[in-house]
Amino acid sequence: MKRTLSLAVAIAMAACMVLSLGVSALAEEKAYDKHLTISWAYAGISEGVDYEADAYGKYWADKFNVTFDIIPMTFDNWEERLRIWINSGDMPDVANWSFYQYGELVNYVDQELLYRLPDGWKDRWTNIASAQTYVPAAAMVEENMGGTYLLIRPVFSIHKPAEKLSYHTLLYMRKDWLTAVGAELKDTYTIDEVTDIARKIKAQDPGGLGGNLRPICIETTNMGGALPVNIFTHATQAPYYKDESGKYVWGPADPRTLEGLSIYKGWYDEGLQDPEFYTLEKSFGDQYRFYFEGNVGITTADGMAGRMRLFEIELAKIGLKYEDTVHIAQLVGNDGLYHHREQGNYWASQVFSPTIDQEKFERAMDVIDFSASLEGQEFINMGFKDVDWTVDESGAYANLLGETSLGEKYPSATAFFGGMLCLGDDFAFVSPGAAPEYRQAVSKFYALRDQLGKDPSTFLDIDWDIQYYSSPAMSQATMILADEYAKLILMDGDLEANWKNWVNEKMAVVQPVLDELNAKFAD
Amino acid sequence: MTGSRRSPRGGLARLSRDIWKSRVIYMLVLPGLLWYALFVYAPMGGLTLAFKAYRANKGIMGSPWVGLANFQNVFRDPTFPKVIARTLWINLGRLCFEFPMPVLLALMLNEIRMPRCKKVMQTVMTFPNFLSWVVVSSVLTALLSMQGPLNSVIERLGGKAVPFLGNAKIFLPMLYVSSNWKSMGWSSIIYLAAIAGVDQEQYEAAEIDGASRMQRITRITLPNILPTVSVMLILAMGGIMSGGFDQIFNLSNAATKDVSEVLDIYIYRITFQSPPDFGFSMAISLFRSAVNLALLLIADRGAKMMGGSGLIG
Repeated sequence: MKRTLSLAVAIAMAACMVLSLGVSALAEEKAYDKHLTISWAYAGISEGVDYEADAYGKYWADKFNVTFDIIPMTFDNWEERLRIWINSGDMPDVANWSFYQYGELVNYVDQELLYRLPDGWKDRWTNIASAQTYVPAAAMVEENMGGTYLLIRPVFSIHKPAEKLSYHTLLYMRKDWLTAVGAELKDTYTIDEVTDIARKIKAQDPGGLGGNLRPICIETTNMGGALPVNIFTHATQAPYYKDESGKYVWGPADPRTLEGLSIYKGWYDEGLQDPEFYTLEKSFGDQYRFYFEGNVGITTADGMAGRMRLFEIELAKIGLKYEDTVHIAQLVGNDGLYHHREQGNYWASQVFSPTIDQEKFERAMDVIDFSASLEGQEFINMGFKDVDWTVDESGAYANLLGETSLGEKYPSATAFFGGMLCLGDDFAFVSPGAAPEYRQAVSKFYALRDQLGKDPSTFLDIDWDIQYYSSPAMSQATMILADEYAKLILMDGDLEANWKNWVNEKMAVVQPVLDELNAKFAD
Repeated sequence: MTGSRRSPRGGLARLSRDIWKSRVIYMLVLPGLLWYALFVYAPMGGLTLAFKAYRANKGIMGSPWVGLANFQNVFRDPTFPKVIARTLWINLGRLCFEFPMPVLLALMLNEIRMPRCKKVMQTVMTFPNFLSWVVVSSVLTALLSMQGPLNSVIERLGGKAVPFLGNAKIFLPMLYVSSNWKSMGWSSIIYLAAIAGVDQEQYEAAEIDGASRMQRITRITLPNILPTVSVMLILAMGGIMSGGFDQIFNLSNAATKDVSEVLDIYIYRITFQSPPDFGFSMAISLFRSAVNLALLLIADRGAKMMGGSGLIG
């Protein structure tokens, strides 16, 4: 009897389990029983990739019963394209938006051009909500706007490498050439040291490249992070700032900016800098020359494990070994200090069309929420468990991909899903996809910048008053300083006279901004 | 004198009668008129944006009026007068170096005796017009870059590579040369059509009188196509504050910004390369259209004063 009862209970329990499993499976299926196509504009990805052609892309499509209608954008034009779409009411369902200018967001919200996430969304999509807590700006923007209009993409979450976050760009230098010209291999180089090394490379031409040699190749935008900023931080970083008197002034008009520009012009005039740096594609054109053409001595690129791995892969294609060819280092000012502004721990955002269908919005949020979960992060960064990665005895992730990278095995992996919300920089600290030495290098340079950035006049704090200030005058004074400086460098005539004329011209639109800022925030 | 005057009512009645009489022909004009009304005149309502602070959620009509504030902002920008001067300079250059080329080409093509050769030449010259400026500028950039074929030739001949793309002095000649290469053949079609309409007896008479080929060109062909040239010149004057966006946008870079930012590029930059301000952009566009209209009227009057035919009246 007792045995029969036990059997009956067991059968009943099993039946309940099966039933509950079935119900939950049914519920899950039911949640996605309708196939949806979601248009999604995304910057920095390749055109013509079939996102469902490999198992990785298919996993996403099947899991969420979605066809991703991907609209690739290049970093050269993504802001312009999105502006056209947003302002013409022709925005894709979801878009990866730069969110470089706060005033633009205010403008869009005011005009109801972006979708306002429903109140209480954080209770439903908890992984996204959690990811937003890593970005201080998210809460501020939400409070200022009176709701959530964008999901800001955090760079770091649980592996944030420093309290005050520095900018990770590093120098990528030809190690073999540095050795050949007798330059010391070290972790930091001042502007003057870089100039000196470039001169030696140009004079000795260790690669025997003749006219094709580019001792330095840094494209216009990246030059904005090298010069004049390493002489005077406010030249590009936080150009509106309070001087000693507590009044707001404009950094580009400071004589120290001219000092930095003189060095910049020297690089160009001496033939150290690529003679056509201004024609290179933004952000990547310079490093392409480094690893595709192999004719560049010094460039700058992301100081992240993924980028180092990319250099390794691409250099191998032209027969060069990363460990023999690349030396990474931090560029510092001639004062030996780190010059930049603190990073807000975010890069770009995801925004939704104001006319997005509710079902599509919820499905897109489910996709993003999964991407921000631990399971999603593991999948995004490492692929399929027990196929592409596993957990070893010590509890650490172990790579099963061998020599192949995730992107090589699944082209769709690097194309779209990678930075859906959380950027890969955080997971890179534990990902077995990147070699331990790369991960250690990233940590080392964050620590080094922390150490070299103790002076708040060179490693600036974020001025939140300015960061989230907008006005018509501020909009009219918007300019891309890196492009403006490149123009000055390439202009005929005396640099100082040209710079003075330029400052005088710009002050007509800058002065109204300074007047506003001083009226509101001056000490 | 008084007898020749007609009362307006009589004229209207007569016009109505004429229209009714030829109603089938007038029906053919109707789609064109509708197209014009819908796509040319109706959108002109958007010009009110120049006097409004545009809000997408309120639409053009619902956006608040701001008077001349947008124009004040336009003229406060120190870049604006420079852009105007640059636009005029570049387009006057186009009138000098681009406008006469299709006329010359048409005259030369007309002198080719072998019809097959003439057709081939015309096709070859017309073809580049169908290439987009994106394609043409990519080819030019590759051709003129420091590592491009042109510089390779210069270096092989013992010279030093020239930064063509970064030389502001070369930018304008490059615009004119590339524009002529691309559009000259296409633009010459209208002059070839005008030449085709010249009475052949004039040529035969001139030949009998012993006129040389050059004399026939200068004394017969050119005077006969002058009305067409005059109309085309007036139209070109009407576009002197605009045009060339695709070409300049694709060929310019930071090095040439100071010689390449024309009004169209400026409007694009204000509208799409910074937080958009459609009122501001519209104010500039309206200003540009007003200047274009004024120049068109001046050119028209000038053509008439010189004894040519105008466009208006």
